[in-house]
Amino acid sequence: MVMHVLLSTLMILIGCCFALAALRSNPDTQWRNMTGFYSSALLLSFVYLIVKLATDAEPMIWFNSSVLTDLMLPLVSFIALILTRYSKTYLDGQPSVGYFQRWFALALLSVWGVLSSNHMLMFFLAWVAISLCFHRLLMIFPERPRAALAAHKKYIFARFAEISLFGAFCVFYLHWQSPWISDWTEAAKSLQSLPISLSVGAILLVMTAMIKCAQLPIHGWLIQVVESPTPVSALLHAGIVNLGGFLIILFAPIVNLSNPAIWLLLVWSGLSVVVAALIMHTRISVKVRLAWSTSAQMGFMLLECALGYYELAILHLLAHSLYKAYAFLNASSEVNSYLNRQLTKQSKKSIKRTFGFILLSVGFVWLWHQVYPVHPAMAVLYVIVFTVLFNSLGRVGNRWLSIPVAASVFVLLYAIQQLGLSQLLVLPVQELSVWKLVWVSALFVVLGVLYWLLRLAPNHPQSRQFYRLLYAGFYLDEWSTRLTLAIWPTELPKRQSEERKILPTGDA
Amino acid sequence: MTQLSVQHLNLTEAQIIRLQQACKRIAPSWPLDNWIAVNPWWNMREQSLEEVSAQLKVLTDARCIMSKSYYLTRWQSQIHDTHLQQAISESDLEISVEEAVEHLSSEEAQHDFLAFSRLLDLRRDPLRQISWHDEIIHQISQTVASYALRLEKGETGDQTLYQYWCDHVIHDRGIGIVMGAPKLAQVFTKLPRDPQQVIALTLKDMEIAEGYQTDFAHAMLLGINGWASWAAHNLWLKNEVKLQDDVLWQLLAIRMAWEWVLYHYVTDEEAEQHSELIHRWHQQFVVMPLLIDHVKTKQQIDWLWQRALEISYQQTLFSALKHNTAQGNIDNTPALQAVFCIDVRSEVYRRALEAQNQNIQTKGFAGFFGLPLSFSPSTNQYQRPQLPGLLSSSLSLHQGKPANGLGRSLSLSWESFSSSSVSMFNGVEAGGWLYGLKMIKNTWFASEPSHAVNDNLNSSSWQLFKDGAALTNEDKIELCCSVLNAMGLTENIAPIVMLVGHGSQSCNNHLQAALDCGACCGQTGEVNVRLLCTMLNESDVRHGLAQKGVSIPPNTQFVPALHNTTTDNISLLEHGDHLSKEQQQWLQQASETTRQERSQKLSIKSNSVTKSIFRRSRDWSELRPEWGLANNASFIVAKRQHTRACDLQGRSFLHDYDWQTDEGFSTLELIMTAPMVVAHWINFQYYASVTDNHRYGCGDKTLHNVVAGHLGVFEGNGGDLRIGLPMQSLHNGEQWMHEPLRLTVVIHAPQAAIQDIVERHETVRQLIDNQWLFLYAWDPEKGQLQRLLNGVWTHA
Repeated sequence: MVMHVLLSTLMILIGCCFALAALRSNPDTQWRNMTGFYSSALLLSFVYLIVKLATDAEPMIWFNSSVLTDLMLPLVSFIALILTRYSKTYLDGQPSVGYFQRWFALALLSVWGVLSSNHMLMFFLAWVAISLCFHRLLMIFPERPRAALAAHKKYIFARFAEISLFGAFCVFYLHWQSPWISDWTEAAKSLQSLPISLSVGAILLVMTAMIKCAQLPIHGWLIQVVESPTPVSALLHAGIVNLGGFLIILFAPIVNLSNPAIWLLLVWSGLSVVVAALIMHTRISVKVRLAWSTSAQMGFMLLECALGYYELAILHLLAHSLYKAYAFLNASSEVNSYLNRQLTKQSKKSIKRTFGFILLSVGFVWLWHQVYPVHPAMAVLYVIVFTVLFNSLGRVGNRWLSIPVAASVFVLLYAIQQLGLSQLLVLPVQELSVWKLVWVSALFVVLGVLYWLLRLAPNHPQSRQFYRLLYAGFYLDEWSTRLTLAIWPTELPKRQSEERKILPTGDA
Repeated sequence: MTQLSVQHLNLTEAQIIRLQQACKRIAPSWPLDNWIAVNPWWNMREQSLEEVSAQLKVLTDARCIMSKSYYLTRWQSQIHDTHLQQAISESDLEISVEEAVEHLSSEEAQHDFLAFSRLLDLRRDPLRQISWHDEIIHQISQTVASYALRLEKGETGDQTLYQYWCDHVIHDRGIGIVMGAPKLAQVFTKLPRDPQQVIALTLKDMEIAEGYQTDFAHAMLLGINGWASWAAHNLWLKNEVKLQDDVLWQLLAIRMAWEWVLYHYVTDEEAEQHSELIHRWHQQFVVMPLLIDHVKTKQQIDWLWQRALEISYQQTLFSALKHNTAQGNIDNTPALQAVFCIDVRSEVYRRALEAQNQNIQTKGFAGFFGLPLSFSPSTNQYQRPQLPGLLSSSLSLHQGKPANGLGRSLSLSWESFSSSSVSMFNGVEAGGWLYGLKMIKNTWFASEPSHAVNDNLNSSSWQLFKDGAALTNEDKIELCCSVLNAMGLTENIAPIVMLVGHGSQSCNNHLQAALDCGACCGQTGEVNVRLLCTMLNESDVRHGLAQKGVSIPPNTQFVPALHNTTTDNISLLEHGDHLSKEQQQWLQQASETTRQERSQKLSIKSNSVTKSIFRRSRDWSELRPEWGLANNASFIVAKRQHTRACDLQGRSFLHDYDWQTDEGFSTLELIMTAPMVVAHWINFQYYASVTDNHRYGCGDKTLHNVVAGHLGVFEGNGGDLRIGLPMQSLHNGEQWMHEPLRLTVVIHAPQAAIQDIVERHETVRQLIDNQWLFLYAWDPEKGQLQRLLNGVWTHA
């Protein structure tokens, strides 16, 4: 017991170090400090995770004791460490290095705060602080009009999210008369259904998560913030947007009981997944593609939550963070990837072949199901996934050897991780109703059909028309931009200032 | 809204010619995978730089000269009275030094022609509304990019660029929504589907008089200069293009269509309220010629300062050249010969290598080593040029199946699987943690960066073709003979002759080609040196060469090598064992010396220079792996023995040339029409990226966003395609690392021969007489330099 208290106190102390990192003024010393703090945070949170898994005692009440937090603390520290090392060289010579360091450190402190606090007020304050710090990071080049516009939109959406989070917390506090989050989730576990007030609270939580995860139609800012330097994008996509998922998983015992909240999640994130994934297909620049993919991936994670597949959602959250951080930091290797693509033969596009692969995939999924049960709502998606997998193997020489090997490797990787996580976590089980099954399967069928329409018949009139609509993003962001400016105008930097010199022009 | 009726109008021949003139003013820009430096004003070289500067200032507010404050900070430290005085005496201005200095404190004038869209922006509320100009650039840029991607995949069907754009814009409700202009869509539906007609309509409806049509069209294209340069490159690759297939022409039509639509949108609605706007629109054209004249006059004094800065460099250079004493072992056969690219980075290394021993001789020659190659690294269609952008290839080199085929196809399969719209979700769940390992590797255990093509060269499977047929022995002998002659490598051949290509090494760098060999079209020179050495080492070829009077001693070995310009290591690609221990020592020592010299510019904070430089070459977060050709300033065509004693500070392109053995001055002609022009392109790419990084440079690398795999970059989310060099290649955060000077060309050859070549080549004459570069004839024996301008030689 003493050990836990000690450890959790240390964790909080580490959190303070994050903040201390923001105070230094000399960039070089500060990089060193940040590297030191984040590596010790990584080490400590890792030790903490191990100790927590090995023994079974409760830490301090102030500290969030869920396994999810234990998993996310090392992840966030790891990403912070990588980003610090990366930015040290990457931002060398930028006049705004000190500014970046300050707000980066504070943003991470706030993320740390959200992940680790068990008191509702602490949680809420940290939540607000994240978006305030992040606003600063987005405005690192305040003279770029598109950056200012994106940050402004984000600013307004974030306030909405905070209001609804605050509303939810108030509802829970009034109902359970306790400010401790762990008390709420414990209490909810013994409930069979939710009273109306709590259901409203659950819906508010879902709204908060949707906004935080940049689901359509309030996704525009996430796409447009590639107007700030690469490490900022990496931090956003790997460490901040997924807090919506964290919120839903943390409050799963409550959200799980509210049918309206679950259906809101299902419909909203489901549509978001389909639309964002297809829009991504029409994007031409590497970072914008990555940004759209985040929006779709977050939707998928929330969809998994709505279906009660929490272990998958956590897996998604962790794996996606690592993938997206890497993808952003490595985005300049795109030209080399392009050359690689030029040197190998393209996988052939043919309708007949695709149908063949679909049949083959059905077989594989059935086989998989015999070995290790597949989540029924995901079955359609897995068929599509296998089809794409087989098709992309067209580049590799021997198809009849590579297909079974690749399929088995994929299933193995997937099943091991899923199994591991479900052993680790105790999560609410949800009944899968027929309607949910129908809705989700329909979503994936639509996604698959439209995807192949765009790929196999790009010049079909319907396909062209649909492409245009996707290309325009269904005008969702245009509406939200105009609405934002109408409700809350902002002074955008003038065009002339585009001719900024990013670095001082005069010579020393 | 009054009904807008659209007549069918066609352009007259004369109009097409005028508009095509505007299209021809746009210089091409190469894609990222074979990026080379280009003078962005190359197609305006028939005018003087001062005229171009004034014209571009008015048409698009571009800067072709540094700001006044730049010169002010250099006054008295770098530019002294004498320099300024000489600049004044060269010009026909009557001005005192004091007046010139005073001029630097006066305000910069703001004069530019505003497109109709930007006139409208003046009346918009910047608090609540997005500017038309931004929206237009964004819309055009995104649509053209999407078309360009389809064009590469062969998925355009029967649509031309203009039709594709029309299709998009007519159905696009987004513009109306975001701009708060719901009726705009109606005007778009009136657009004719033929680019010619929309151009004709714009000229007619917006009343653009004949005399202004070229400039108007030019201003339109400059508004979307990045994509215009992409289109110009598209045309550059083709021999002849019909008007309906000309993407640049279509881009012009698109930009004009926007003007036309806005014009009608505004004027048809409330014509009376807009009379002032329309008046201003027409007034702009009337004053345009006056404005250009006015700006030109104002800028004359700025140009004095630019010239004074150049004189200050030239004085240092010339005095170094004049006081040199011929050095090196001239008559005997050297122990080691090494031929390098003319690149300015070679100068530093050559100086270091020569310092090792008197018996080492180095030479400078264009880095593609005279082989007009295109290289196909794989059995499929992809091929890349290995020669200067100015030339077209006549030889093609094919490589059989690339090595590492399975690894590559597996990783590509994974990539396409994990990034496709439908399978990315599960791809991430299955393999996301792998990326955590990759980040650990890249951050703490970085290895040498990989390159898709260069890592898999397999010279044993190479086959060389000319016009589809395998190259015969006679062809090879012919080719080798001309290359050796041009290199001046026909007698006193050393036992070891290294042919040294160069390439840079950096990780996660989409602009790597800009650091590779410009003479090899943004590739490393490895393919060329390997191929040439193989040919020169063949006994059949040597036998044939001997018959042609070029006798290579039987014990001579040609060794292909690659100069890594990031780490300054030389790697021997083949036959490395022929070098003695001592010779290898020379190379290592020279590398160390070069690194020490270069480290002064790299602001290295750690103690170990070598370690820090090697880190740069593999660090995935490094945006400044090396300074490339920054600070280049001169091009010297002479025998090395005349410059061997000079420290040229890595600012000079060096081309070996001996006029006494050049019959009929055909080699000189070649040098002045090809390498000199390439050096000028590089020089002006750097120049323009420094004077106006917003228009001719690509801004901040931390914001770069690669478009369609290799077409170019956006800075951030969108906007125009960016061309040129990024700030990180030019500026170290505290000061400019490139000083924008026009190229000083120094040639050791008789004046008459030089003048004869200038008179026969219009391009060369334009470059000299329109002051895009300075040409000097040098006589090392007398220690004299004479400048050629407008056919007259003057003493320097």
